Parts: sequence; structure tokens; C-alpha cells
Amino acid sequence: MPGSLSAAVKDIGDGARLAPLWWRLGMDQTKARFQRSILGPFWMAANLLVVSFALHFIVGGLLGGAGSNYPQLIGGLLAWGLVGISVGEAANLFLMNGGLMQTQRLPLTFYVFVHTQKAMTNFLAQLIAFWTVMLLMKNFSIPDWSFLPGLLIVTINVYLLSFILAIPSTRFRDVGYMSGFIVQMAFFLTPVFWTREQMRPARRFIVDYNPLAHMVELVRAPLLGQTPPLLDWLWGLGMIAVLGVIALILLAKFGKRVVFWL
Amino acid sequence: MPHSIDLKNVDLDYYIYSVRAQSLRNAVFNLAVGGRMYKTAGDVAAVQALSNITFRVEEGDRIALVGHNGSGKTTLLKVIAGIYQPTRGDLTIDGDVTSMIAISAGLDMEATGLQNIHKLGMMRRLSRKTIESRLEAIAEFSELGDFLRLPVRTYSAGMLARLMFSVATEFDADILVLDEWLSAGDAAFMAKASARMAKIVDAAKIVVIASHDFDLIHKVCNRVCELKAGKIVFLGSLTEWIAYREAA
Repeated sequence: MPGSLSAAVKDIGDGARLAPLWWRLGMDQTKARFQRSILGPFWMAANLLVVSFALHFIVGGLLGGAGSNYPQLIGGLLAWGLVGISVGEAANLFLMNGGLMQTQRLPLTFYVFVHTQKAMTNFLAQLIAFWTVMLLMKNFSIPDWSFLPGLLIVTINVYLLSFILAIPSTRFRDVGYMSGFIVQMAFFLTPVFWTREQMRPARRFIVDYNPLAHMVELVRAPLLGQTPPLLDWLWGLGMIAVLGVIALILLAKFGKRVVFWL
Repeated sequence: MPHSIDLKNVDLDYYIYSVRAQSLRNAVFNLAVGGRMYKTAGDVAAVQALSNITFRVEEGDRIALVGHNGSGKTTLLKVIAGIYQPTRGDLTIDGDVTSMIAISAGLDMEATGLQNIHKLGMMRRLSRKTIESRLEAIAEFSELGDFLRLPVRTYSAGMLARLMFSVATEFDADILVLDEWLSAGDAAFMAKASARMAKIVDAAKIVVIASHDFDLIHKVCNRVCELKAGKIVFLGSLTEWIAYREAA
């Protein structure tokens, strides 16, 4: 075990050192995604805008005009794109890069870096759309100082969660299908288009014990000019510790097997 | 620092998932092709693709891997290239390995030939400047001309081989690991390619090449390792191998 543990640590270091490569590869893959489309990367922004308008319309209709707070909603969707959707897509992370993995030696963590880079690119594109809409609606608030540290904590969590999901789903393909609907379900369980206060007190545990809710809050609150409460930070940091250990164990135990699972 | 590759008692098992191991086992057990297949727990079959491989390659060696289809040549190349880690045994490599194992490795089918040259160079961790400075030479050698501006998905297998080979051989390597996919080009290109091959093989410190092509081996290599069902059956110099072949 000590041998494979040090190999795992080395894998992480090697992956991080390849930053210029995964940065460019992630950009390339993002560009390739929108090749031959007219709107191109604007699709990432269009997605956020259309979904947020539609949800605002529906939720406002269901709960009355005050039921849906638009900045809260679009901020939530923006954060969810980073936290929920990109983790959901992580199941196919190694399968997508199978060709490369079978012809070139790269650290396993490298592919997770590529994935996280793509998630961040998507987030930044949507962030521009978010600010544009907020400016147009004269609802712009200057981000709180906590925006960057919050984003950093969430990004590390996204990285670790993606890693933890990607390894078993390469071996057991069912995990990939399962993660699709779990993410969909988690979307409803997380206060993205509703708020904790709207939930009946007896059921607020859905928010309080939902790690994804704390992740979303760490990104959303600073964007709306608020500092997230201490509890969110503790959840964010605690998750990094727990997920980090799990990811390290998975990497040490199964790292060299993954290429055979493709 | 002298470059070397050192394998000690290397075994490699492939685990093949969701194959009905039992029904396949009888069918595959005694075939001339492939490694030894055995049963493991559940729905998983294991193929021992390499068994007890021990050899050392020193700087200046050009070693050819020969053997039947499925004898383990490509698997061994992938172990040396670091793609597969040995199931058991030790592998020590001093030097930077450049591998050309699959023909379409790392190609983006939607991108143009030129964009792919950039991408392949980038995957080999070359700077934009280095790639840019060699772009013309690559384009010229590939003889693809204006086709380089078309998406790679429109290329034929031969054209892909030209593109890949031209990129792969434009840059120097310490340890070069080659599989035998080269043969997809046409006769004119093959002649050109083997001349170029001789040149880059001269520049590389170590070359490991899997091939069935006796002429190529004869021209390029000084050592030969013959594999059969994942085991080394012959390891020695080129002249010894020729004698061994004649005796057999």
C-alpha cells in the first residue's frame, strides 16, 4: 500500500505540473464542442438565460410574484452548472478520453484537470452572461470579497467529486446512468430555484444536510454581494478533507487498473 | 545520462469485463493466437498477455519485437510506453518516451490537418513556436498539400498515416516506441518513410519497434526479441536471430 500511495501522490503532482497542456486541451475540447454551430460558445450563456427566464416564469406563477427572486434564481443556476451539472458529466470522463489514455502516458489526474478546466470555462462564460443580465436589469451587485475563496473551495470539491465518480463509473457502466438521474434529483433537492425559507421547517434538513446546497451557496451568495455564513465554509472545507481522502484511496488502489476498464 | 529500459519479470494481465468467462475459456485456451486465458471470479476473464518478461535495452539499441498476431508485441510496447503498468514485476525507464502506437491517436477528426499538427505537437509538450517552425517541413513531407486545410475526418487511412507519420517523425525523441501501423501509406510514401525512419532512428537514443517486416528489421535494428504467447522465446542480436530463424 505505501508504494501505491506514493504513486498516487506522484500522479497528482504530475497532473498538476501539466497545467499548460490540460489548459489548452480543455480549451480545445470546449471549442470543438461548438464547432460548426453559429452561436458557438454563446450557447453556454444562452442555456443559462433561457432556463432562468423559464423557471422564473413558472415558479413566479406557482408561488405568486414574490415567490421567485430572479437574481437568486439565476445565481443559483449559474452555481448549479458548476456544482451539479459538471459533476454529473464526470461519469464519462475517462471513457471520453479512452483513445488518448490507450496511446499516451499521462497521469490519471490529468484527465480530471481537463474536465475541471472545461467546467470552469463554462462557468466563466455563464458568469459573463449573468453579469450582463444583472446590469441590464439594473440589479448588479458588486461581488463580495469571498467570491474568489468560495469559488476556489467549490472548484476543488468539483474536482474531487468528479474524480470519485469517474473511477467506479468506468468499471461499472451503470454508475454513469445512475449519476444522470441522481443529478437531476439533486437539482430539486438543492435550493436553486427555491429558498430555504420557503421550505416547511420540518423539511429544512434537506438544505441543512445537503452538501450541494452549501456548495451552491458558496458561489451564489458572494455574487449577490453577501458573505456566505460560516457554516457553508465549514462544509466546503470539510468536504475537501473527506473527499480528498476518498479520492486518494481510490487512486492508490485502482489507479493503474482504470486503463484496462476502458 | 545514458538512457535505458529495464524490465524485470514483468507480467501483464488483461482483465476483460462482462465476458462470459466460462464459455470463452474452453474456446480460447489452446489457440496459437494470444496469451493464456484463465478464469477469475465472476464475470471477468483474465488474459495473461505478458509473462515473465525480462530484458534490458541500453543506449544505442534498436530492438525489434517480433511474433505472431496477438503474441504480446503491442502490449509490451504499451508497457514500455507507460500506458499499462505491469501487473507484477519492475519496469525502470531512463529517458523521455515518445510513442507512436495507434494511427489516429490524439487526432481530432473535426479539426483540419493543420490544427491537428498543432494538437499533436502540443500533446508532445512542444512549444507553439517549435511547432510553428516545423510546420512547413511537416506539410511538405506529408505531401498532403491543400488537404491539410480540410477536416481530418475526410482523410483516407493512407492520408491519416501520412499525417501522423510526418508529425511523429519531425521531432527528436530519446526513446522511440513504434508499432507497425506505418504500412497504411502507399508504395511511394513507404519508400520515403523508411528513409526518414532510418534518419530518426539514428537520432533517437533507443528504438523499440514491433514489426513483421523483415527488411525493416534488417535495415534498422541490431537486436531482436521474439514473443510467443506472451513469453520471450528468443532474445539476441540480429545476426543470431537470422541464424535462429534458419535453424527453426
